[in-house]
Amino acid sequence: MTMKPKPSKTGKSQTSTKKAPLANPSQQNAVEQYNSTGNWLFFLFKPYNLLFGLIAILFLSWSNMTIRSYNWVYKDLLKGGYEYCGMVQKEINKRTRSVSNPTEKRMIAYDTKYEAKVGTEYLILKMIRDNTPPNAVILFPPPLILTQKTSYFTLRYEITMKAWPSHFLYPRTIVYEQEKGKNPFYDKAQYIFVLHGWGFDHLDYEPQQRNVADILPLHKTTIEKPS
Amino acid sequence: MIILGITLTLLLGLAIMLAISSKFTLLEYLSLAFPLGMGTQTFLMSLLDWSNIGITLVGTSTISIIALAGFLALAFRNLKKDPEFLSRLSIKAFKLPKPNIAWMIFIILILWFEGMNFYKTIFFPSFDTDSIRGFNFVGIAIAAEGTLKGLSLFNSPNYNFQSDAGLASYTPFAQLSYAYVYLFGAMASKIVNAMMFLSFVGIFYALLKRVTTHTAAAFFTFMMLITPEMLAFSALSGINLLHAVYASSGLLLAVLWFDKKDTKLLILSAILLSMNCFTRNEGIVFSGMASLLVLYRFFTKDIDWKKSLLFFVTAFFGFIYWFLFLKANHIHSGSDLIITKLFWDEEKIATMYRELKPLYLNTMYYGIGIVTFGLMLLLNVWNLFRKGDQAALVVATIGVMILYTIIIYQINYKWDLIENVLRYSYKRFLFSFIPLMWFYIASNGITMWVTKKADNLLYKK
Repeated sequence: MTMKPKPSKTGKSQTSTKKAPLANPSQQNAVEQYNSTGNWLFFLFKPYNLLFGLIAILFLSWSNMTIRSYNWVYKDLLKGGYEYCGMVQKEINKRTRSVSNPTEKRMIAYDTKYEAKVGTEYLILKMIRDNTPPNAVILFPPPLILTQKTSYFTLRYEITMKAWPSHFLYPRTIVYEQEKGKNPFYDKAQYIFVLHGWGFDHLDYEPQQRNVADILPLHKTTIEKPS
Repeated sequence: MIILGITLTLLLGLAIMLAISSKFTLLEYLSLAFPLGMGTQTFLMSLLDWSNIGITLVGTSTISIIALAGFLALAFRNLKKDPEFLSRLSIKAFKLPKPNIAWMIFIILILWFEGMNFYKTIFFPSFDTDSIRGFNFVGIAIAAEGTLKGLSLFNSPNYNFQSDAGLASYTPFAQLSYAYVYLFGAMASKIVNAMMFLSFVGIFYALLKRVTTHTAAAFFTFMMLITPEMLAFSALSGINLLHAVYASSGLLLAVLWFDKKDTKLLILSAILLSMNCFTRNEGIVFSGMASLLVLYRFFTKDIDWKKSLLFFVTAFFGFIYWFLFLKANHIHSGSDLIITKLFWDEEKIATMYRELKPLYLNTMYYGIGIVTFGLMLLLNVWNLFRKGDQAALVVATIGVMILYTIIIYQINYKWDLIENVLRYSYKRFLFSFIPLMWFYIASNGITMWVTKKADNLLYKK
């Protein structure tokens, strides 16, 4: 296909840009909208076009090889991150295969993603969420117990920062053991997060089993569970 | 439902753009629509809250539709004066570009990299610590409780959000924008971050295209995009990237106006800078620097006092409005954080130097951006002083860096260590400087000479 050059209002030839001041957009447009007689394919194989393409590829290879952070961007941050999403999506598909309710499907996907990113802490907080009503006030262990290193699991320090676990449990209220006498919510706690043996002495009844991590009603009278 | 919310925001942003002018490029309309729309939505939401109507789905939708109608009325007034508008944007006017291989390589890479980044951003819900215990948490609570000023998290004795540097005093853009998507039924708020960064890539390309060639715009947009620390943070829910979008675009538009004296650029700059102040308190350094540029043009009689004053008020509006909001609603503003009188503390300066040096020079964080900026500045010293080549951009870039460093120096560190603030907050605040640096690298005299030569060779008959 051959195109005839059309007269352009903004300038038709590249030579006209030579005397132009720097950074003049109208002159830039002249460069971009330039209509030569050559066709598309001809332009593609123009020596300078190939040369600049080659320079671009060489630059990219050089920066990928010599600048570690750019290599990290491509390999780990983007490609690795994208592939990780694929792995998590596979797990979601597996878990939702037999689920037909779209709301339930969305919830499973949401939980699976958080499980993948946050880990054990999320599983524990999810257990608390699923076993307490939205208006529950929950007593959490003190920091030393929360972050205690054990052979079962060790929770990260973020769980000791109230706003962090509260994000996953909202609108439930969290109160820590060390807030006794300082926080009015302490006395209103209806549930207790028992962990590594801590908390059983707060109960006014004997639980059926003593798990390493569990959410239990503080009082025998608190028997209502969320639907 | 969430698609409806995002569409409403995009339409609002587009209407604002058209209300400003019908002469922007298509890419500018498309890429600025979301940041402008979401900034306006958050402002409207705060108004609903302040007026005790409440931040609800119905209220938010209604007020944004009213705002949309208002901006559309202004847009139609502009379009009436510009009958060629539609023909400029029609498919007939679109010309297939020449197959410039270098340009194609970088455009494909931009689309590929940003595509992967966008996907992984929206795939996972917020998981970074600052968002979980802060911005996203507050966003969820606002959507559930319908208020910011009366939020249980801020008023309950169970939380400590109203302390010095507490989240209650943080400018509300991130929190309200997250609340916005939650109101529209989203399970996670990261669509805001994904859309903002995607928009920013478009904005940067579009602004670069105003001063340089397509090939150079693609190359330097790609280089800005792959800034390691910035790209990594773009997939998180922190406010730094959101702020960088408003701050750097607003200041770049002010610089472009300074050179071209095109009023529509100044209006857009003022609005974006206002939103920058609504995203981070420290955003005032960007509004301040842009105001200095306007002040200079006022003294050279290139702009009248009315327009100058309007710019100052608009550029700082986000900051002033938020200050009044905090005062009126008795929210602790943490205003005693800044030491208002100047002082000399040798130890503090030594600490800052020790901490900032590796931040600026380590290519692991910002790739070759900062080093190249320094190098180009050195190579261009002659052009800069003799011809004033990109002087406004250089002054603006270095100016905001100095102003922000002074703010960090003037802070009274009773709530955290200065080392922590420099290592984390300052490091992330640098995101706002990086696009300015790449813009200079792309548009200084030497680079322009090279890119123009290259285009001449490529496009000559």
